Amino acid sequence: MTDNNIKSIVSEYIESSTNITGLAYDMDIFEEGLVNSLFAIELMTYLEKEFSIKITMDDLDMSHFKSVDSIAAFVVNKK
Amino acid sequence: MKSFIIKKNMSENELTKVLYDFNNTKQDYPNEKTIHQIFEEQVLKTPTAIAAIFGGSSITYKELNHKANQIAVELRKRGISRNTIVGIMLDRSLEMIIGIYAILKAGGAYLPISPENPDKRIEFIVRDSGIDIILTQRKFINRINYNISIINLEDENLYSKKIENMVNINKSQDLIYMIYTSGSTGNPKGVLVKHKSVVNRLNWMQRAYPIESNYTILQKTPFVFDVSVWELFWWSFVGAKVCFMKPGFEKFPQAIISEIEQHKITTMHFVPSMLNAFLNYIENSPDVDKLASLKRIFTSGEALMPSHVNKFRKIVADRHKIALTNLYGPTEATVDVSHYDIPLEENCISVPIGKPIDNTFFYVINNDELQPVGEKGELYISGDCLAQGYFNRSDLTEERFIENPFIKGEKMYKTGDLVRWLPDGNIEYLGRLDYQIKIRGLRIELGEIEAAINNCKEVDDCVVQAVDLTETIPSLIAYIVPKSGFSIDVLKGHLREELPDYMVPNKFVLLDQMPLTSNGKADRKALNNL
Repeated sequence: MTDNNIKSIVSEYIESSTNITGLAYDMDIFEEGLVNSLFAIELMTYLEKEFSIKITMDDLDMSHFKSVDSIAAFVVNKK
Repeated sequence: MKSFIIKKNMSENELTKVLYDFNNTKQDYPNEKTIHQIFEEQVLKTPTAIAAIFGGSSITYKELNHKANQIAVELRKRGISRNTIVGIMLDRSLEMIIGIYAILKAGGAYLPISPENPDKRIEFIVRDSGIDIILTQRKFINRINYNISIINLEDENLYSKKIENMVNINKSQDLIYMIYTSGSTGNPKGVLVKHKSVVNRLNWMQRAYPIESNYTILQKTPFVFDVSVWELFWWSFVGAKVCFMKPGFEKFPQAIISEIEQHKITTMHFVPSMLNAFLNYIENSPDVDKLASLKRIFTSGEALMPSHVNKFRKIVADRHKIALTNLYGPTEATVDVSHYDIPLEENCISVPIGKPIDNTFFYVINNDELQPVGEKGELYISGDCLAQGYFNRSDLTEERFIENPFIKGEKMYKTGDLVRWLPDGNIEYLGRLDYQIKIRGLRIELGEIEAAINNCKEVDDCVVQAVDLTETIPSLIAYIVPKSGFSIDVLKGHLREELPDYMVPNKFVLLDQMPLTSNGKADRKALNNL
């Protein structure tokens, strides 16, 4: 799976969860108030299941999950 | 005094039921004691037992008592006495519990302040409460730019002298804390709570759901919300432990699971929407077996739905014997006033908020008439749980804490919650009677957000509405009639400086004029249909 592929999958998921369209890949979704802190838990669930990865205690840094770009980079790194 | 009448067609039997049978909650408890006395007594019984854990560190009862004494001496020196309010602003840490007990031992009441709040809100709380001293951690010292003294709880020099317990100067009617909640007219308001109310609340919890000395309670609720009160003090009644979750990690299910597994957590709290998201995470995962130490989960803060319960039964309760209890209560009546144990053997179709706890009395009133079983009305609460009132807001205190016509000399608190009695004496929750809403258990007055928006001079008028999309999509919409020069970005910036994150609307709709109802008020229904 290419980096761009992952970006579009993640972006589609976030757009469908937040009811918005045209999400910029570098936008900080938490800072911009697009999602609330409860979304962090849902995002963990989604990423682990969709990409068959295990997110461990050492990965728990909000900077990995703040935008489509950073999430894709994190997933590529984990796979 | 307002006069209430008994609903005309109510029989003597029905009256006895709702006034006495369902409110048969009288119970002895150590009503002369303060929370710090109870802790000090336990220190004598189990001095070397672990009292609190944070990450890799822990502290025994004796060590915690000693450190709290060392800070308390300093506070007394600086003039803290009975009922003085002392600020405390820090992250979850061992210093949190050292600082809180220090304030109580000095005789004062603690005022928790969230470092996550914007500076302007912190400043409002500091000014409104009139505190002279704030306890904090090194990293927050430069956030406090007011003319008040600061005690850095991480300063080693404070812990050098050997100090015995202070002479207790408090009575159980003295204040233990002041917690700010959202206010409908624009600013948050401080709720003043007495030691006695907390002792009654925790004594009830220990009677109803006894914990033992080998139990560990997870502390993950931000200490500015009163759910944290039972997490912060219950363990001290029996020589058990509290485990402080690392700040920021409560957002991650992996961290919650790891904390439970590593520290063998037995007792914890979830806001229902968080529980739901957590269950989604552990579904079909071997992680569910890492929860084996849990004995009971308490939920409160918003409605626990039958779907949450059924998911809990399927994913967790089938594998591990973990009990689920739903609690309900406003800050003005000390944490929780009712409880309902969820039967996990059968499919759940409704979740009541339950029956009143010890020394707590409920009245369901509609149009000044006491309602029988099955009839809707506003819930009024009376008993030892009642807060003293709102700080410096005697007008609001008199409006919400009124004379109890059923028990002479007692007050009752008008909750704004619409409820009804069920035939078995449980209370069913039906919604709010005003514009207070809950988002992830956080209490928000829409009026407070509207006031903050109206403070912006480029705004002519505004109404804020909450909409239910899904649990994870923030759902506050601001409808704004702008003046010239209005900019959404400027307004957002202004709101982020004034309000906590969870109160900033995420959708802004601009209108030429506000739709009005026939009596000239903003038409909220019409707004919802836009």
